[in-house]
Amino acid sequence: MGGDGLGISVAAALTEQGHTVHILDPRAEAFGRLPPGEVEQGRIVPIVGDGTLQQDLERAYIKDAHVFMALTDIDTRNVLAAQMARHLYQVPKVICRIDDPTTQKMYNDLGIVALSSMTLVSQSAVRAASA
Amino acid sequence: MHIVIVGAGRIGVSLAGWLVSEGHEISVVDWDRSSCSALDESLGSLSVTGDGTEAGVLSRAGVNRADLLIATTSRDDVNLVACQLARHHFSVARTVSVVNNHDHAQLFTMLGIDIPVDITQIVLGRVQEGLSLQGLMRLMPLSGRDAKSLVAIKIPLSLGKEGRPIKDLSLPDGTLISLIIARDGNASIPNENTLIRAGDEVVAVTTVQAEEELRYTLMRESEE
Repeated sequence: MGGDGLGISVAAALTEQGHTVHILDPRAEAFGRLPPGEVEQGRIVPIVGDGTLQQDLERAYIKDAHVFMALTDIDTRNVLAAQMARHLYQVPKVICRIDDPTTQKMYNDLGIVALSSMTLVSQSAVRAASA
Repeated sequence: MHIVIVGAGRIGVSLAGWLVSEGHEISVVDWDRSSCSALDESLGSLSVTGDGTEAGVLSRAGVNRADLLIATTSRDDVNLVACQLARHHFSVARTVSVVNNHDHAQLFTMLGIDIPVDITQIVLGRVQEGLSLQGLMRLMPLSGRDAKSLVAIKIPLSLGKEGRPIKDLSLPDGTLISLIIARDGNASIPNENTLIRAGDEVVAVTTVQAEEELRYTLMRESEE
């Protein structure tokens, strides 16, 4: 869920590893940046839809998914979608982008893998500086 | 009680007004400055401007000592995070949330929101009730396994004036006519010979399943 730069680059990286990715975003134009070869061969399937609605999640075959990732830049929408994936569809692995540090920690404690792009980038920056 | 309301829209504002009049201590969080100042003008200084899904903003609203948080925005994602922060981060005892999209109602219940208010379902239910059970009003549910309730049915004036004795009506199983209030307001406890007439209000105990049949029986047969 999420067709911004992050969602697109994660989708591309996963298909390189041989996975198939369904990517959801309400804005069709977001999919213009997907690698065209992968889309043609069906390894990335773009779906115009809202990842916080059951019918759109089901159009993305969430019932058969091994992993669900909520990667938009809106924390609260990610949290809602991730908990739907986990509790309504029992997706085995759910990963959720949460940039707010307090909520990130809380949802980690509640058993959701919550990643903050800000924390990850700042850790990498610090690591790069001290290397 | 100290109560934090997230969202100063129509629902948030009317809840705040009622809770203040009940003597509770209220804070209302909304990111929109003009909604906040409008609220403060009508109810006194209650508002906190900011994002109700940020712990810092909820802290300023005094959520640490709140007994209850009510999330009333038109966005389910915002309502959910506000309630979960209140419950898990601030240990607020009870959370109530408006659920705008029926899709999310079950999830809110599973995640421990104490009172999920499913607006779509309420509107739908009321309209269905109004359309399908015209003339029948549920007065109160009765305890017990068979889901009976006390209902009132107004016999339309357009129906025949003669009236029919209760013993001639084929009432659905499990239904008991308990009280008849005549047009002049006189109430009586009926027996099998009591006539049901146009304009009467019939109070009965019945099951949810039998409601429609009861209504149909009373409205139809008193016509003959």
